This record gives sequence, C-alpha cells and structure tokens, in this order.
Amino acid sequence: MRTVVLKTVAKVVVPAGILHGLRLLVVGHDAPGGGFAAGLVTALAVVLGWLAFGTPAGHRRWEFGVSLGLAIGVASGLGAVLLGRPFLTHAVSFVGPVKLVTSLFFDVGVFVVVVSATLAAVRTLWEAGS
Amino acid sequence: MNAAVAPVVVPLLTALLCVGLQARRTRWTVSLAGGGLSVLASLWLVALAHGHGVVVLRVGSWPAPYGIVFAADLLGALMSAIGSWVALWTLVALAAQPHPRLDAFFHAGWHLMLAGMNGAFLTGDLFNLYVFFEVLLVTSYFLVTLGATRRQAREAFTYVAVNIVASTILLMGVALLYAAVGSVNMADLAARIPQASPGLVRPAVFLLAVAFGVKAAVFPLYAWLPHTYAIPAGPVAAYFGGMLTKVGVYALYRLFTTLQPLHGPEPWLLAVAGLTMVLGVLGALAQEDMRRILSFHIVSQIGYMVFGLGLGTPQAWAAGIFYTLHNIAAKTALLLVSSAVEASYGTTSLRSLAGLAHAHPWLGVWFVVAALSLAGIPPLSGFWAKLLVVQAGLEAGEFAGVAVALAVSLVTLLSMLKIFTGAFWGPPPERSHISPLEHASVVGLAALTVAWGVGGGTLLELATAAARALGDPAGYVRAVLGGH
Repeated sequence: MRTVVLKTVAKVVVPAGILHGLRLLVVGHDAPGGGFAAGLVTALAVVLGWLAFGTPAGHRRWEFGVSLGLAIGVASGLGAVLLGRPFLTHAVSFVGPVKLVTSLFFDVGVFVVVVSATLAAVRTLWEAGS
Repeated sequence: MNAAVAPVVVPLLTALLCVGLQARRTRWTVSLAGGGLSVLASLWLVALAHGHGVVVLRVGSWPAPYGIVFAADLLGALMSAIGSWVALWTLVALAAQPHPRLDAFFHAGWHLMLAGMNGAFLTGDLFNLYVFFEVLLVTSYFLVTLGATRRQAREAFTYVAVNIVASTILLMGVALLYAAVGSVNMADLAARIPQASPGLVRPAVFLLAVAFGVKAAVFPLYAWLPHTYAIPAGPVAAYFGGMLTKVGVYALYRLFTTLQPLHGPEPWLLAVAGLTMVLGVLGALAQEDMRRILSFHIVSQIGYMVFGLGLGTPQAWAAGIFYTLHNIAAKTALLLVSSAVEASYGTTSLRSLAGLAHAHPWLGVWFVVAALSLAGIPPLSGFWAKLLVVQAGLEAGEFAGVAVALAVSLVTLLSMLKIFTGAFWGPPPERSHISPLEHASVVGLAALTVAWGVGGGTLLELATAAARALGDPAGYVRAVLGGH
C-alpha cells in the first residue's frame, strides 16, 4: 500500500483535506457544510494519512472524544438556559464585517463526535483486519 | 420552559461524565447522583404539569410548529418520573453485581437509555418521538449484550432485527402522516388530522399502531419479548422489563388520545388487549423458570393497560395510567428479586432453587408483597389498579373483557404461587450471600406498591388529572401552538 505515489499525494491531500474540513465547519452556518460534513471530511483526510504513513501507535480512548463532543454540544445549549431562554437558543452578532454565531459551538461539538466516532470505527476494523 | 427538557439533559450529561471519569468510586458516585437528579428533575416536572397544565419548551426559540417542541403533559411527566425512579434503583442493583471491565459503558448505557425514554415521553414532535425511540433502542441493543456471552449475542440478534423492522414501520407511518397532513408536530397534527384525507391518515395510524404494538409487545406482536428478556444481566433485564415495553404503551396512549382520539370502546383494541392478557399468562404458566415466568407476565400485564386505553373514556384511561405506574413498580421489584437470586445462586430455574425464604426471609417478604400486588390482592396497589380497570370495563358494558381480566388475574396468582412454592419453600439451600444493595433496590420499588396501595388516593388523583388532560386534545393544541 505505502507506495511513493500514495505518500507524495497524501503529503498534499491530507493537510488540504483537514483545512477544507475546518473551512466547512466555519462556513456551515450560512453555506453548505456544518459540523457533520466537516467531521467526515476531516476524518477521511486523517484516514488517508494513516494509509500512507501508518497508524499512530498506542491505544486511544475514542469514546472520550465522542463524549467530549456531545458535552460541548449540550453545553452550547445550556448557556441560553442560564440566561432564562429556551434550551439551545443561539445568538448572532457582528463584529465589523465578521459574523459571530454561538451555534458554532454546537457545530464544533458535532465535529468532535463525528471525527472521534469515525476514527474509532476505522481503527477498530483496521485492527480486526490485520 | 426549560423544565420540560431537564429529565433528558440531566441523564445525558451524567452519561458523558461517567465515560470521562477514570476512578471507579467517583464514577459510581456521579452516576448515582445523576440518577437521583433525574428523579428530582422529573418530579419537578410532574409538579409543574399538575399545577399549570402542559409544560411547553420551544427548543432554540423556534416557533411551533416549525421548530422542535417539548410538550410535557401530566402523563408524560409521570412516565418520566417512574422511568427515572426505575433507572436509579436498577442501577443500585447493578452496583451489587459489578463488571469492572465494562463499568463505564454500563453507566453510559443506563443514563443514555433514560435520556431516550424521557425524551420519548416528553417530546411534542412525532418525528422526535421516532428519534428518541432510536436513542433508547440503540442503547438497549448495547446493554442487552453486555456480558458478551454467545447466547446473548444470538438472542440479541432477534431483538435487534425485530426492532429495526418495527422502527422502519414507525418511520413509514410518520412519513405517511406527514404526506397527509404536512406536519410532524403532534399538536399541529391533532388540530389538522380531522381535515386531512382519511385515505392517507388511516393507513398511517395503522402503521404507527403496529410499530408501537411491537414495542409494547401486544398480541400478536409479542413473540420476541420473553426470549430476549431472559438473557441480559439481571439488573438490565429488570430495567428493560420494567420500562421498555411501557414506552410503547405510552406511545399507544398518545396516538389514540391526542392524535386520533377514541370516543368510546374500540372493539379491535379490546380484542387485542384480551388476547394479550390470556396468551401472556398461559405462556407464563408453561414455564419452569422464575425469570421466564416474569417475562411472560410482562406481556400479560400490557393487556390490562391496552384494555384501559381501548375503553376510550377518560375514566378508563385514568385506570390504565394507574395500572401502568403500579405495574412498572411491582414488575421491576419482582425482576430485581430474580436478579438478586440469579447473582447469588447462579440460576433462576425453579427446579434447582428451593427454600429461599429460609435463607433470605426479607427477600421472601418483598417478593410476596410484589407478587400479590401483581395478582391484585388488597391492600396493595395492584388491587386498586385492577378494581379501577374492571370498574371502567363494567361501566362501558364490556362484560366479556372484564371476565377475561378477572380470570387472568386468578391465573397470575397461580403462577406467582408457582414461583413461591418452587423457589422460596422447601428445605433451606446452602446459604449464599445476597448484598444489601440488592435488598435496597427491591425495597425501592416494592415500597412504592405498598405506598400506592395504602395511600392510592394521591396516585389516583394524578392519574385522573393526566387522563382528563388526554381527554382534552384541544387544550394540548392551545398550550403548544398558543399565540400563533
């Protein structure tokens, strides 16, 4: 598998893929994208990196990432509760031309869940196969 | 009001914390504290729903019917309260049978399943009902196989297959109703179904009834239950046996009161109820194993709850709701006794067990209390539950149904006696230790059936108020859609 061609391509595609994933995460409020799509794209880039350069050694606690992401998502909704607004109410504000939305925190939570769960699934199948 | 979602968010956060915590003792503390908090959150919701009517939360401030709505009426709040209570005490029973390697997953599963159940009870959105059903089912697939024996894997496969088919039918029903009415908000549906084309609504309601019927394990859709519930770890079986089928019963109540209200007795529901009672109890009679007898009784008892629903009057619904709450307490207590016995003696077969009453007199006492309550002996809650159902049946003129209900309760008593003579009488066995935590878990539920027996008035008042709210779908619609 680990041919020169794959390694050369991966050196460009892996960072580009991760960057593209992060871009999807940020633009997701107004344009196609969002935490779920961004998480899948990022996880795919990481998996391509694994294919080209091998998986990192050691046991990872993926379930920790899944629960961390879920916790970020739930916490993003609890801010509104503290202010006496309905759960998961989000706010938008503009700093000059930059649009800031608190729902980005929810998307980050989804992103972390999707990346951790996908990588956990791939890693498990990987280890079962080899 | 955010209170409507508290019984979902509290267990969700508890589950996440439990996965993150490494130290066993801290994890147990957090888990039990979270269970206690869930109970408090849902009791608070009961108080609010009783005082002010439907507690509505428009999640994210999106207006109904466009956004997602939580609408906790008294029935939903009561179900979430008893669900949280059962989750807490079955968790206490689990503390007595620790699986060190799987600990974190048990905790996460326990609380996530509670979050799914409470979500199903409290949501005001039919599609979200489906989503929360999936949340609790996916967690239950996972809990049912924890322990990882070959037998569990085999039986779990049936369980998963049956439920995936039922969930698909449920989703088709929701989609069809959406096609007919153009909404999945339950209040919006309730308001607009009468104007929609019956050619689409009727098959949609049929699909929903079938899907909920599988989950509730009514005749002829119950065959999966007795085998599945015989295999998981004891406390898991108690948690499932006490609560899971009742989520299906709740959904049937919601379907045939809020969405498509019954007006008077519905013959096919009554027939289903009668057959469920009879076939469940006959199945139980044929078993020689404590846990299997109790599993078949779950099916039989569901019949009474559906009977109350099928009579189609608020008074009968009150009887059905009382019955459901009583049965959850009594049934979970019995399953926890069986779980304690299995943990200490390695079996629940009536052929291998004997003389437990000598070795563990208090366990015997609590078993008898819960068993007599299940059979409907005064002054326990089961007596009032049966009396109310029978009274409602007589008033509706459904004499055949009442006769069946009474005959079935005699046979129930017979099979409880069978467990008692098989497992609790006879020469004392070689004594094995039963942990105080197991005792505590049984008492936590059996005490409820005693309390509701002696002081049944309070529960009856709550059940009546809940049924009155069900009988007024227009009030539900106003509460959810009001101001739009």
